[in-house]
Order: sequence, then structure tokens, then C-alpha cells
Amino acid sequence: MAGRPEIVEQRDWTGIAIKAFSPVVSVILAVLISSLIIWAFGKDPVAAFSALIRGSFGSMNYIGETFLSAVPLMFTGLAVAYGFRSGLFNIGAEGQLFMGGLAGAYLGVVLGGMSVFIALPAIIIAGALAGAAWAFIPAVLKARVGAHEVITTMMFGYIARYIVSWLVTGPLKAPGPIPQTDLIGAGAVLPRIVQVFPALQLGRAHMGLLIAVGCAALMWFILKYTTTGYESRAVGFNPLAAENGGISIASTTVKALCISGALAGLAGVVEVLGVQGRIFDTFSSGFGFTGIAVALLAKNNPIAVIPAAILFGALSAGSSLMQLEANVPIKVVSIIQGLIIFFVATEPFVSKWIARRRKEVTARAQ
Amino acid sequence: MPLLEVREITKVFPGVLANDKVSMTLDAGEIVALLGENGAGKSTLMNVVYGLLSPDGGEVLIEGKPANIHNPRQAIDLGIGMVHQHFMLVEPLTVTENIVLGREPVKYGQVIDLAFARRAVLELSGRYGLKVDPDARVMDLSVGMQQRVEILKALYQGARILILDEPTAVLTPAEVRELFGVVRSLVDEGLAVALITHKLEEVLAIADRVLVMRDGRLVGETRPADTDQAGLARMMVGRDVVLRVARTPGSPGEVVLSVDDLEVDDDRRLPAVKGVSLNVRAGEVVALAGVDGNGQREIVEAITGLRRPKAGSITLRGKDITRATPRQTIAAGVSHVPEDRHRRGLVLEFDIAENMVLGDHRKAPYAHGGIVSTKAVADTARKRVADFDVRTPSIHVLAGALSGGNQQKVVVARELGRDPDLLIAAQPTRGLDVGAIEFVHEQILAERDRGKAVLLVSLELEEVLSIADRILVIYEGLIVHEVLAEEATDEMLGYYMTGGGGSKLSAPVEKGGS
Amino acid sequence: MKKNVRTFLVALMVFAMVAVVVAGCAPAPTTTSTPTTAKPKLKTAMVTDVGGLGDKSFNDLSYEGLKRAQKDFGVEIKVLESKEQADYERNLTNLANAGYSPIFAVGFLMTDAVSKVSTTFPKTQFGGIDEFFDKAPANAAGLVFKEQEASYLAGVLAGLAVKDTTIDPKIKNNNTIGFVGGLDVPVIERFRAGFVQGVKSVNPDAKVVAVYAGSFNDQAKGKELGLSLINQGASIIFPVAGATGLGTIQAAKEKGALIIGVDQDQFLSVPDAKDIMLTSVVKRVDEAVYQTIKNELDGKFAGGTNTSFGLKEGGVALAPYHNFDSKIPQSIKDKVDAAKKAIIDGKVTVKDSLK
Repeated sequence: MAGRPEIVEQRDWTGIAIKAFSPVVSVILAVLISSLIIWAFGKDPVAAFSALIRGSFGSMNYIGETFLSAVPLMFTGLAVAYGFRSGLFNIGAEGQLFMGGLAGAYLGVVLGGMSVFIALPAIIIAGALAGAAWAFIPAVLKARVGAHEVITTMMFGYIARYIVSWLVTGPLKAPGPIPQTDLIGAGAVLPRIVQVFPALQLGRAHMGLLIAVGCAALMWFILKYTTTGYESRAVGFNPLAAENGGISIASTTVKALCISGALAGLAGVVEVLGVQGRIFDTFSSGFGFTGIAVALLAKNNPIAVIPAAILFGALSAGSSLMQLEANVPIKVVSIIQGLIIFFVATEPFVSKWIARRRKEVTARAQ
Repeated sequence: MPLLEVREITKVFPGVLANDKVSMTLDAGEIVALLGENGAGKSTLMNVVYGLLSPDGGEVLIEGKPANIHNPRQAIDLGIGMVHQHFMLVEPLTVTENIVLGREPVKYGQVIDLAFARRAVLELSGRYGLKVDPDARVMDLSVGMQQRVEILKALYQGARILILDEPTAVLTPAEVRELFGVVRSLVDEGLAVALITHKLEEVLAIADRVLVMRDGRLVGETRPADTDQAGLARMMVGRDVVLRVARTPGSPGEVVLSVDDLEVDDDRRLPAVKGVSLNVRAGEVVALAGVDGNGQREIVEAITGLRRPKAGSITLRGKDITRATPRQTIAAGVSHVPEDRHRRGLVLEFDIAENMVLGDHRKAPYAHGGIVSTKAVADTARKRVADFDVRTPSIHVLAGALSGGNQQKVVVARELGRDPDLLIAAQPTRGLDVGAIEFVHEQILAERDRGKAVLLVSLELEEVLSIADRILVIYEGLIVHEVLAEEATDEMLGYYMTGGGGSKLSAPVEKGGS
Repeated sequence: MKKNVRTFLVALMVFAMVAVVVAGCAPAPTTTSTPTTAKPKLKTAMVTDVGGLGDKSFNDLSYEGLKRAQKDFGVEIKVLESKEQADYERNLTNLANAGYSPIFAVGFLMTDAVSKVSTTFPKTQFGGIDEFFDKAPANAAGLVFKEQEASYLAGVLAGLAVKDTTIDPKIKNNNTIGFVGGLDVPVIERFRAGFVQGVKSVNPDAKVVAVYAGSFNDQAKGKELGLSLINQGASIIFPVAGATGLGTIQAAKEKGALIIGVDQDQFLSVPDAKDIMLTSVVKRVDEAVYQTIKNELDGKFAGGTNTSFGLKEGGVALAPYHNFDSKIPQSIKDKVDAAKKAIIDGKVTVKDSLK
């Protein structure tokens, strides 16, 4: 390093801060613009956001509601993020979620009479496997014939939904007028947090939250400290260089999409065992697709997926009180979500713009 | 008053001072060469002038007036044109369409007046002696022709100052001569040309004035008449440079790699390698010399397992690896420095440490039972960074943030650090400056002297003659000539490389052995 | 590759945002809580299912009932929309906590949620629209509809009209009637059973061809099925398939067939089908809501049971003939009226299944 100027550790802290906090900035911008929209509709934005925050974090019970809505998004967010980290866009997480939910609903009835300690782990693992299996075929199609996963996983999403739709109106339909499966047995019910830790009065929030946090930690570990994660990321960034390094693109792709599918499958099975108790046509409100937004907001970082999902969960949970107290229609919540995604997606342009402004200001000051 | 003046430009990238108060001038009617190693800050400076980067300090003046350039549009309006290393043409469009793109002449309000545009292009090309077919599609043109289109485009946009960024990197020797002719005629017409390069002979051949940059600073200015290659190299690198590494003859031992009647198809499934046999012995460097695109890439990819051969066999120390996967090939003892470090050599988004173990990442001590040992990876990365003089503040800098020379050092360090039996080095010095070339050549020879077999693929005769022990000339998928390095000459190799040996008619030369 | 994905994502998200904003700008009626006349005696509310307001179906109709009650009785009203399944319990709970009663839960998907929340809030009354409780809690009432009764009347009309080419040239006199179902589920079966029974009661030889789309939300499929029914000779089609049925109506418009609308008066809600809309089988969800509120005010809320709203209760009905009023012979109208009277008087029982 002889003769080189000693400036190497001079880092652009402002630039780093802009990057790290840009999701936060996106959220703030989204809230500001939504406030304008609420105001334009003749409603009180302060009352609206006050109700939204109280309805999502105002009491242990409301926090529980936030967690309840956040859990499936944590799983699907992780699923999509893992795909992205491996260079794959798993747009069909919704389908893998349905298959995971289906496995949970079916086995929940079949094994529901067994002990919780046997039934619950078995069913949850089965749900993950079902999601992985549903991602396996698109993965093989991608690895063998190069069929793009955006198309195949999406199509498999439709197939999964129609399979569930058919099963709940026919072969697996519970007696009664409603197209749905039977309620799962007691041994298959994922307990609420309050049942395990009585001190935590978190209402309906269930132990799926802990599983999701565990999965996030596991995924972080896999990506950072295992050869599987190393190979996934290498293929995701530069498949040709990875191949040159002896990594099989095909098997890495299959493995990565199956891991992504397993996470999405967990979203489905946990939702069935922890919340709905059965499966039916509309048991998911597009968790697989909202997961894309969560992953984007978290910049595909598994740990950041947790707060990102909680934010989206809070928007869902708080919207009830926002409608009730501030008379603001629920569509506003969709607008906020859309705006957050918009600002996250346009962040590269925004931070570039900020950087340029910064320079101009500095230049003028000199 | 100079046409272009740059005053104390400073540009900081995170961790790197790319330009440190650089000042220069450029007059109408002169060619100024900006010479420097990769990463010296030449391109940064010119990108500032062209508005692609905003400086952190200093100013740019055009005809003595401060110019406020924030984007290329403004630069073009001020008469600055730039031709990049990677062309920015729309391939399916015609030459005329590309040239007028962005400034289309219109008639009747909205309709592009292509006939007028075509006349304008012909007029320009006639005036400066830049012959092009205005109606050809850009994708059908050779690289040299495409470069002409880029220059014409800049001229059409009214450039008085033309910046050429490493213009010869992609050209054949004949094309380089033509380009220099063109540049000379532009200058005679009163244009000013700034030429970014790191090739010494080019500077001496064309420049009126030479500015040498090193580590972000302007370290010298001279005229070709006042210096020679060694002098320029010394200014550039800051010390004496051996332009051709000293070496002793190799001492070939047993056969390490043996390729028999190999046939390989290219990406379009056309035959690219049509029955090649060769072998490489321990302790020798065998060069595969040829013009780009004659099957070299396919041979290398077949040996390394990246491409399935159609026929023939490949053996390494007697073990058949014809159908081995890349992983098995690595395990068998083959290292590969790929021809394009960005495409196959590095994961640019990985840091240096992660890149340093690519290919060894499953093995102890870097991983145990699927769990990566970051400490072992970091230790090895630090050692190799030191051994191979990779210039970086930390092993956790992303590979993409390094200069080209340092990136190549990372690749070489990784591939040699594996201690292979066979090293395949494909264009290992492509795009490197003299200092780095010297270093890589020394490493390859050191490897040979440790008794390794080396297969060198190169387009540069200079390189082939300087480090190979034995030279195989490849032309249209066949080995058309074999010669010992000490018996080879530029003219002879050039003759065979361009098909002088009768090409397709000739059968493969007798099996490899020397 | 990476850049492409990024560009694609940006485009996707911008598109999503525009869609969301457009959806958000649609008139979003929420609540109005200002009864100017009398002092509010009662706070009543509803929770929509994930379809939300603007579904031109149960949610909107329930809201109509609420608004009528507000106008007539001066009650305070509130609507909470749901976006996901978890919202059902959440919205019901928040409303109960805020003192609303009765609270209407719209759609059978909320049956479980009503059962749970009504147990937590024993003093709050709950009305489940289209919900049938196996064991209704004392403070919950299932409000279900005898779709088969109004469908029977539509069947009588169709069975007679299909033989009368004077009504419209589109009637091809080959005695074939079509039925398009969304999914083969009990509620659709009630429509079909009543319809077929009505047709056969006046025209035993008529052929009723029934097909299912497998979705309530697939207009293309609805159109395809409509075209195939018309090719098989159907002159009158009764689509009971939500948005899928709109595709069937489109097919009838293009290839020439008459339509019997469903759920609400589709002569009004599908204006470009005015010339082919014979009548509609309407479910008066608004009526059920309105009457339940009225019962609550009168102290007669029928908790702990399921109440069926049939022709007699005004819960289902046949919509006016509109443009066809002058074309349908009086004799046919008389027969429809007679059938209605017979059902109300209990002289005819309409079966709720095909078995």
C-alpha cells in the first residue's frame, strides 16, 4: 500500500444512513401522503392515525391482533426473500401457502386426536413439505428446461387454489352448508401465546409467532453461515461464476425454491392450525403476494422481515379501529401499503436524487 | 485559451480518493492521452467532464467559461462527446437511426425525416473519412464499425471535444490502425481528442501530449518524442517495470492434461471445436494462440466441465474427466482463470473473502458439515490478499468495488491458492495495466516452475511469446500449427492465426507432444 | 437479469399502487352517524366479508337495510369492512366493545367468528346474514334465505315462456333452458332445485341443462358456458354465479338468449342487458337486516335460532318484468302469481335440494 493516500476508511456515512433508513423514510412518506388523501376526503388524518396506532399497539390485546396478522406475512416475506437472495422470484408463494394449509387442514383432522406433542410438530413439518413439494415442480422445470419461475410458480398458484376449491366443495367438505373442511382436532391446534406464557395477555396471537421468528433466525444463519446459503447467494448474484466455482446451478435452484416453498407452506399450515382451524376458498387474503411487499421493504434481509411484517400486520389490525373511530374507509390502508411499496421500489432513484442535491448544496456552500 | 480546462477536480468514492485535485487542459487540434493503471482515476476524470459523475470539488471550464455539467445531455450541448468502452447503441436499428437517436430531424411536425438524416450521416462520414453503410443494422456490424458509429453519433451531436475511453481494447490490430487514422483526421479538422488508455505503444503512436495519472493524481506530463515505453511505464507505475518477464526455459515432465479428438459445439449448437488433440505436461506453459472466437472458449469450457463435449476425451493424470462436472474437475486438480472475470470469475456482489474461496467453499477448513467457518475464510483471504498484493482497505470490500487489476488478482490468487495440478489461464491479463500484467505473468511462471501444468489461452502475441514454452495456434476450431516458443515469431504466428496455414484443409497436427 | 427483475418489480408495484389508488378513490361510503330527527335509540352496525362494500351483492344490500333503518328509525349505523379472515373476529369484537347491537355479520364465512364473539359478549345481539348455526347462541340469529321459492317462480315463468315465441324472437321453441352455477354448493343447489321444480310444474317436457363454472369470479368461463348452452338450444338462461354470470349475460347478448337475473334486480344493475332481462330472482338481504333491526326495537329479536326468509317474509322475490312487462301474456303472469300465492299459503312446498 506504499504511496497511497490514507483515506481508505473515510466512509460516506450519510449515504450509508440514507440506504439503511430508506425503508423508514418510505413509511413516513407513505403516511404523509395518505394523510393528505384522508384530509382530501374530509376526514381527520390525526384521528385516523391515532386510531390506527391504538388499534394495533394500544393494548396487549391489540398487539396480539397485530402479531396475528403479521405471522403469515413473516413466513411469506421470508419465503419471497429467500427466493430473491437466490436470484429467484417466487411469485407463487400463495399457491405453496395453500398447499401447506391444505396439508394442515387434512392432517389436523386425521391426526387431531393424537397428543399435541406428536401431532403438532408432525403436521407443521408436513405443511412445510407440502409447500416445498409444490415449489419443486416449477423448480425442476426451471433447472431442466429453463422455464421461468415467475410464470410457473404463478400458474401453480392457480392450480393450488383450484385444488383447494374443489376439495372443500367435494371430497373434503364438512357437513353443513358451507364449503369448508372439518374443524381440526384438539391435538392439532397451535396454542395461543397466552396459553403457554400466561403473563403475556396477547389475545389471539399464537405460537406461530415464535416459529416465524425462529425461521427468520434460521434463514439468517443459513444465508450467512452455511454452504447452502453461500451457494444460493452465489447463484443468485452470478450463476456463471458460481458454476465456474463448482456450484451446480440446477440443484442450487431446486434447493432454493424448495426452501422458499417450505417457508410459504409454513405460512399456510400455521394459519390453519393457529387461526382458522380449517381451510376454505378464501382462507388467505393474498398473504403470498403481500409477502413480496414485505420482502421488498425488508430488502430481503430475514431479520428485517420481522419488523416489516409487523408493520403490515399493524396496518391490518389497526384498520378496524380506524374505521370505527375515524370513519376512514379501509381502502386507505391499501393506499398506505401501496405507497410504502412504491417508495421502497423507487428508493434507488430517490437516494440518487438526494445525493445529487446534497452535492449541489455543498458545492454552493464552497 | 484552451477549449477544455479542468481545475482541481476532486472525486471521492467510499474508501477511495479517485481524483485528487486534478487539473488539465485540452486544446483544439490536439490529441491528449490520459495514461494510467486501472484505477488510477482516468475514467473518473473524464466521466466528470461528461456529466456522468458529479465532482466533490473543482470545476470544468469550456473556452474559459465555467460549465455547469450535471448530466451527459448538458455535456453534449456544450460540444462534449464520449465513446465508452461498452457501446450504447440500439442493435436492431440502422446506423442512421442510431446516429440521430435523441436528436432526430423531424418534418411535418412529428415525422422523423430519415432521408435528411441519412444525407447528414453520409456528409459527416465523408468529411471525416469514417466510412459506414448508413442503412446497415448495427447488430450486423463488426465491433470496429460499431465504434465508428459511436464516433459519428458524437460528431452528429456537435462534439468539438471527443473523449475516447479505452477505444482499442476491443479492436483488432488492423482496426486500431484505422481508428488512429480517423482520430488524426478529426484533429486535423479542429477537434480536440482525449484518449483514455493504459497501452504504452498506442500513446507513443498517436498522442500529441501525454498526461500520466497514478492513484488519483496527475503525476506527470510529457510528449511522445521525449520518452519511450520504459519511461512511460516508470511514470505510470512509479518504479521500473520489466515489460517482458525474465524466464528460464521450462522443464516438461509427465503429461498432466491430455485432450484427444475433442469436438465441442458453441452456444448456437454449431461446431466450434472440430477435433482438437493436445497435451500439457507438468512444468510447462502451453499457449493456445488464436484470434478470438476460433474455439478457444469452447475448449476451455469443455476441459473445466462447463460445457459438454460432443466427442473425444479429456484425461487428467490418466483419469477420465470428459464428462466431469465443474465441481469434479476442481476436485481433480484443475484451476481456471476465466477469460472474463466479471462474467465467470467473480461474484461482484460478494466481498473479497467470499470470492477467495469460491470453489473451495465446501472443503475444510472453510466449511465443516455444511457450516462455513468465517474465520478460516477470512484468514485465507487475508493471506492471499497479502501474497498477491490485492490493493484493498479490507477483505470485506465487495469485489465489484475493486479496480479491474485488483479483481483479476483476486481471481488469480484464488485459483493458484488452490494448488492445482493444471492451471487454465484464459486471457489472464485482459484489460490489465503493465504493472499487473507483469505480476500475473510472474505468478504463472512461478506456478510452472513449481511443476504445474499451465494452459494459457491468449489473443496477445506479446503475451504468448513472453511466457509460453510451446505454442499451439488455433484457427476455426482446429489446431493448425505447433511450435516451440523460442522458434516462434510474430509474423509466423499471425500468419497461422489468420488462416494462412490453409485452415479447414489441414488435419490436426500430430498429437501434442513436443 | 437482476436489473430486469428490479425493473419488473418497480413496474409491478407502480401498477399495484395505481390500482390501489383507483380503488381507493371509488366512492367509499362508510358511516354517517348523524340522525337529525330523533335521539338515537340504538347503535347498530355491520361487518362486511372480504368482498367489502361495492360488491353489488350481500354487503351492499345489507348496507341498504342499515340505511333504511337509519332513515326510518333514527338508529345510529356503522360499517366495518374486512380485508382478511382475521378481521372478522377483530371487527365484531371492536364493535361489541363500542356498544353496538345488533351487529350484522355478512356472509357464511363469518359463522365461526359470530359463534365465538357472541359467546364473549352475551349482551350484544348478532345477526348472521346467510349464516346457518347448528347451535345458535342465545344472542345470535342466523338469517338465511329460501332462494328456492323465488327460483320456483322464475322456473314457472321460464317453463311457460320458453314455449311462447311471441314474447321475443330469441325464443327458439325447442323447449331448452340453461342454468349456470358458480360452484356446486348448497346455496346454488337451492336455486337450481327450486328453478327446476318450477319449470317442471308447468312444462314437464322441458329440458333444463345445468353447468358449473367452478368459480364465482371468472367472466370468461361464464361466457364460454353461456355460448355452449346457447349452442345446445337454450333460449333462456339462469346464471347463479356472481361475477361469472356477467360473462354469461354477455354471451346471451351476443348470441341471442334471454336471461333471468339473480340476487338483485339485474335489469337495474346491469344496464346494458336491459333488452334480454326477463326478470330477476332477488334476495332481499336489506329486508332481512331492516326487519331484524325493527324486531330488536320492538323487543322481539329472535336470538338462538335460524330464521328463513322466504316469499312470505319478503326475504326473496321476483323482480319486475320491466321491458318484458308488455310482452309477457297475462296468462303467464297469472300462473306466476298463482304459484306465489300457493307457496305463501303453504299449498306448494319447494324442495331445497335436487334429491
